Amino acid sequence: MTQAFAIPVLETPRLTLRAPAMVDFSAYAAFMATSRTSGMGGPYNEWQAWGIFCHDTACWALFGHGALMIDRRDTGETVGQVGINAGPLFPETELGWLLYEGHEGQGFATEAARALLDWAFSALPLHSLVSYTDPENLASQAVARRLGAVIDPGAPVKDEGDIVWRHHRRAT
Amino acid sequence: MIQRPQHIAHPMAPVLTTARLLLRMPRYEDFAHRQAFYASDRAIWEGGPFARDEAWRIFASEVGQWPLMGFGPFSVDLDGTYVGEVGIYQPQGYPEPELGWFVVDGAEGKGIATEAARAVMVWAHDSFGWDHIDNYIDPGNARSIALGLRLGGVIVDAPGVDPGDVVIRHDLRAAI
Repeated sequence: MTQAFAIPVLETPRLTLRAPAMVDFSAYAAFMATSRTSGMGGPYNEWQAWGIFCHDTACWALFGHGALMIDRRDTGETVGQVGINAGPLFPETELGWLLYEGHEGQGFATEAARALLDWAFSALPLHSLVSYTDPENLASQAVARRLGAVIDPGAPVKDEGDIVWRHHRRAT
Repeated sequence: MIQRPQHIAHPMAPVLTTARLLLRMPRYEDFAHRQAFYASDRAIWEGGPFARDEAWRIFASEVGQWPLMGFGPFSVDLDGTYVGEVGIYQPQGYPEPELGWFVVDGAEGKGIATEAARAVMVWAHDSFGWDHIDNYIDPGNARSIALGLRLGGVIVDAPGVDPGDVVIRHDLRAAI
């Protein structure tokens, strides 16, 4: 029988993480069309962006984890997305993040990813998960480091040349 | 034009039952069947054949329509075994939500898609108040065109997705 799934809403001091909705797609597609996505296989056209947007949302139904949009609590503005992906496109369960243009450098990705990571380790039977960063994407590597992840040189990569960061369940 | 619902009442597929079938939310295990279908020559009418990664992108993006749009694919079980999928699809570029179907090799010719499609059309009418729903079918896909017509649909001059698509319209106001 079909298992019900629920997409959580997560609150942090500055951010609200909530389920993606159709109204989010135009800003998401605009971001995916820019060279800022070159470290994640982009730029992507609208059709490709649609597939990824739906895929990352579908992970909730298929795996019980998936993507959440990042809203600033003070302005209500959507500044990016954080998500946990799985399936044939990913060697292991993956934590990823992206910030729209103009919202970098304020710690939003770290704050959002930390909240989703904490949720994942409490809600899911996971011992560890990984993040893949492009070697040229220093900002994302800094986020991974701030999250406490460590480079796992033996882990399989998603794309050639990826750095694999491993997040372990924190001792409680 | 029929429109997507403003409020998402169904973030996942409800269970629908017919005389022989159970329609339900897709799950990860269903993908193996879609992968086999997309790898076969039967997928040429869907723009295939597709390798695993592309098949997965299509499968997952369709499943993602449920939380985003409130409609999407139903997996179809016969006696507890997956036999195909019938659903309502509206990826980017589709003029309206579309009725589509797929039956696994070996389950064809049993009226499964017909029976499931009727149930989905009744559900769509009851849930969204739509007066019609269309199929967009490649003109070479005679089998699917025949099924659309057998369901009572009529070929109309309306936009499809690809140039030359046969558009078959089903009147949902009639007692189905």
